[in-house]
Amino acid sequence: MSTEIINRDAIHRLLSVIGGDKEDLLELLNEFEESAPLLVGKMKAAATEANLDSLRISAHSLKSNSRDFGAVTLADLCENLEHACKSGEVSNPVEKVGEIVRALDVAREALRGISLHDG
Amino acid sequence: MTSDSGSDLHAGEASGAKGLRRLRGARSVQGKFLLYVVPLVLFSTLLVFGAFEWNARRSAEHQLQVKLEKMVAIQSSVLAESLWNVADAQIKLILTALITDPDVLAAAVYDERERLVAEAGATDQFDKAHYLLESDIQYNSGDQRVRIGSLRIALTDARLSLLVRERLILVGFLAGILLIAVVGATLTANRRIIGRPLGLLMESINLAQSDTPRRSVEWTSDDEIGRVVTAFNEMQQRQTAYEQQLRSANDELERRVSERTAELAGAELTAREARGQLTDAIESITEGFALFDSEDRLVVANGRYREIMLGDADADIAMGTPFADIARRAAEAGRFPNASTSRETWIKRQINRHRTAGSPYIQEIAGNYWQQISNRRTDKGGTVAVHSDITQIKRISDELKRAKDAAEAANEAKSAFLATMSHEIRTPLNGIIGMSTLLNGTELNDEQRDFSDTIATAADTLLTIISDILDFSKVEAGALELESMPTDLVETIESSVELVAAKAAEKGIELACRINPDVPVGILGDPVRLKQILMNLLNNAVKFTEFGEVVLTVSTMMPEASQTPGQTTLLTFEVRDTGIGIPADRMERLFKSFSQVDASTTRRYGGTGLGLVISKRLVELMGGEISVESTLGKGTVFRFTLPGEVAQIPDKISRDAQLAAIRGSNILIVDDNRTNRLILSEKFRAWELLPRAIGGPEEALEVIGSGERFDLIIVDYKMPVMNGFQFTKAVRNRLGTDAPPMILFSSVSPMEESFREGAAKMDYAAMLSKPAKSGQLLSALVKSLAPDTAQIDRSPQAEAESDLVSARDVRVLLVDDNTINQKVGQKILKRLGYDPVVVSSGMEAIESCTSEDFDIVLMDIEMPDMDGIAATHQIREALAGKRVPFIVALTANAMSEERDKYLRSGMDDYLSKPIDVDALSKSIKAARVRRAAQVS
Repeated sequence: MSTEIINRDAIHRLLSVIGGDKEDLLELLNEFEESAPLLVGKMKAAATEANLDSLRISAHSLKSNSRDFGAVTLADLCENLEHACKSGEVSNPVEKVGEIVRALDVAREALRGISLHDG
Repeated sequence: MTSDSGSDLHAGEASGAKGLRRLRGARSVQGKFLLYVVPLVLFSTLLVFGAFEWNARRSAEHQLQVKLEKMVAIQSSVLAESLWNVADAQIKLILTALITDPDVLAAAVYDERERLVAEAGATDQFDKAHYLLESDIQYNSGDQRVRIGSLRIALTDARLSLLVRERLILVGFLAGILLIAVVGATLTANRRIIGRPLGLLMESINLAQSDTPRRSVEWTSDDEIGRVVTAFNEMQQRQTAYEQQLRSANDELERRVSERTAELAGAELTAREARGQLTDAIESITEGFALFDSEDRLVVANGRYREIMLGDADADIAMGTPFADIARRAAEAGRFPNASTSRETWIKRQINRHRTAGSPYIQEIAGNYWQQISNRRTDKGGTVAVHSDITQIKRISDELKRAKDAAEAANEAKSAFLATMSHEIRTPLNGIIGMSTLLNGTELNDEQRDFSDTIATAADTLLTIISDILDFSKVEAGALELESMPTDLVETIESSVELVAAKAAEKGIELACRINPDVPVGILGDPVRLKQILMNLLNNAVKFTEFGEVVLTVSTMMPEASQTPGQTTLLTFEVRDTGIGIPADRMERLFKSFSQVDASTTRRYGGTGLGLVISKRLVELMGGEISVESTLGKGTVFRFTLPGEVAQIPDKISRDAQLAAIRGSNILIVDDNRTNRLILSEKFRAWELLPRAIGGPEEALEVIGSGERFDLIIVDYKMPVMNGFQFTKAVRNRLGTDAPPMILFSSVSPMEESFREGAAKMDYAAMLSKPAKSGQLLSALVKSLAPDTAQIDRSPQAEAESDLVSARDVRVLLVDDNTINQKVGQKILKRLGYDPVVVSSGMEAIESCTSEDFDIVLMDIEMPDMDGIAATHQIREALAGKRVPFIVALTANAMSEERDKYLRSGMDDYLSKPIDVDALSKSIKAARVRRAAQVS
């Protein structure tokens, strides 16, 4: 499913949930643009410190947000990391965060395209 | 009684012994009598014969004396001559002659000089002889008497003694005869006169004593004995009579006593038997049974009870043992595992339970046994304890519970799997549908378009099937929850029909819908699920019908109830088709899972066969019943009933009337926020009003000052330079009585004291919190501009809603660390008409809740530092005793097994992310209902 970076259903759902105003959706997307890198930054720091608790919370937040916008791959990666943190066994957290960073970049790119197209 | 007779017996014995002693001392009356008579006889005999003898002897002695004197006198004369002559021989002769007389003992003659002349006999005996006489012998010589010698003669009394002796023998003999005669006579007389009757008496008395019947003594005589015997006989008769009387009295008494004794014994026996039966019964029951008196002391307990309490059916528990002691012994015997940790507490608990005699409770006994104990109070204040062994039941129930848990877990897992699977399938399916739609948008030749259409149709069908499976799994897992909201029946029914209409038209089938006029406009129910059922039945009907028609009829069996909101009514839905019909033998399989009428049907008509099953379950969940009638080849009728509460549906007509009433009004909007101005203006234009929006109050005052007039002014409270109150005053100052009604818009909590007081003074036509819902806004406008219309057309539902809102705005706190989630949540809430306070951590949430009064808290679970569960706990602790908000958990952990976990940890409700708007509004509604209940 490499073609589906963003699940449009999810975007539509989000749009309908917040009342159908595309401007609102844009606002949320901007918020995502701003907050996601912050979360990733936290994750990086947590990964290098091997602070699983902090890593888990950040991964959870990013998972939640990316799922809202239908960034399926990113959400799944975050979920895996979150679960790994919960079980207390994270092999090579820095690399995992690296994967998430790459997936986030892909998702952001895709979201920009979608928002423009739909907008 | 017995002692009396005993003492009588003793007395008898004593008297008998006395009699024997008397007999021994003096053998008999005879003996006694003889003892007196014999000496008397002897004495008198001796006296008589003594006197006689004495007299005889005296006369004999006298005769002897006389004889001696005569002899002496005679012989002296005789001898005088001889002596004179000195004829000694002669003298001798004479003397010898003398001696021949047997009475003469001796004789001697002496001369004048006392010389012995002659003698005869035993002269030596002279000295001893009783009868001795000496006389002088005198010779007569002329007239002169001369003494010439003396004569001495001694007489013997031997003959006298012999006579005496003879007489004595005779006397003795006579006396003996006399004595014998006397004794014999005495004995005979005594025996005949006294002894015989006495003997008879004695015999009679002895007879009486030996308990043989009394016999009267046969004795007749006129003497004392005879009278005694008569008296005795009389006495005896009397005694016999008396004894008889006594005996009969005694017999009567004894008979009565024995009767009573028998009765008593019988009663005792009955009692003992009853008691024995009772004891047996108590002993034989398998339950432990014990009865305690009002002092909690044991009255009776069966072996089973002892076994349960002490482990030994033969254990000794004395009657009267206090229950506390038994409980202690049971605890010490290690019978109750729960008692091992804290014995005293356990014992106290047992005693308490025992005394309160409440509902039965279950207890574990050593060895993995279980018992159920019920304590009942008796009328007399005692306690009956029944200990039933429920080990088997408990084991079975445990097993059942385990099995049930396992089954439920399996079912849950299955449902989870189905949910996941269908989700996983849907995602690519959406891709297929999306792509085929896109494909259709491109330039295609006919063949390609046909392919593309087929793909789209297939995908669509697949989606339906998956939805069915998901629904089915939900229904099976019992996870399907029905809404209960005012449902517009006409709309729901008509839209269902509308959706099927296209298919029916394709097949050339008539599709008709008839709703009876007495069917209520709205009921409380789940419109989505009702629609699903109707769609299912209608789709089926259309699917299996080739010619003819499909008709949906809705009617009610309770038309009068249907007009009153709040009444329960019963609706009947009927879908009739003219299709192929269902064979009778297949009818019952119709509502079973995965079973269509037959396999070929599935092939021909498609479908999972789940539709009817789901419909049936849904109808049942809604409290109705579904049934089917069919004639093969003629058609089928599905009929289901639906109970429901009649509800008022916001009336479109009245809304139209409201809009008509205010149409064309001039409205001034004064708000510094551009967005608000735009939203309101847009909305007002849609309502055919004439809005004029101004950003600054001063500018607005200028406009008013310039003479432009408005029917209504809406003013925001919070504005720079001049707030809503000040602006309102200014307007009223300038226009005076011409001032139009004003509505205040505010995001400030109306509970704020200063604000509320100020607002009250201002006397606004209405006050609304931002952002206002359309309905509220319209109501406010109508109330301000056309109060009459508002009053007439105000629907009860709007009234109810405004009651809920106007009582106090619903205060919502959104707690989420995630900024995007915050924004999404905020937007959803605003859209629903709420103005949430947003915080981003558990600590802030606690602060907000303690400083402000919230109706509902939407609490994210996954947060750093303090998670939602901990925050909820602390909020509840901090607000202990006060009003606690309705707390709803928000989480991305989607499975329903989590739901219970959150509800257990203090949450009032649970919503999964991404948030479903319907679920959220339902949850808030629940909070509002609770709030309304608390306020009232």
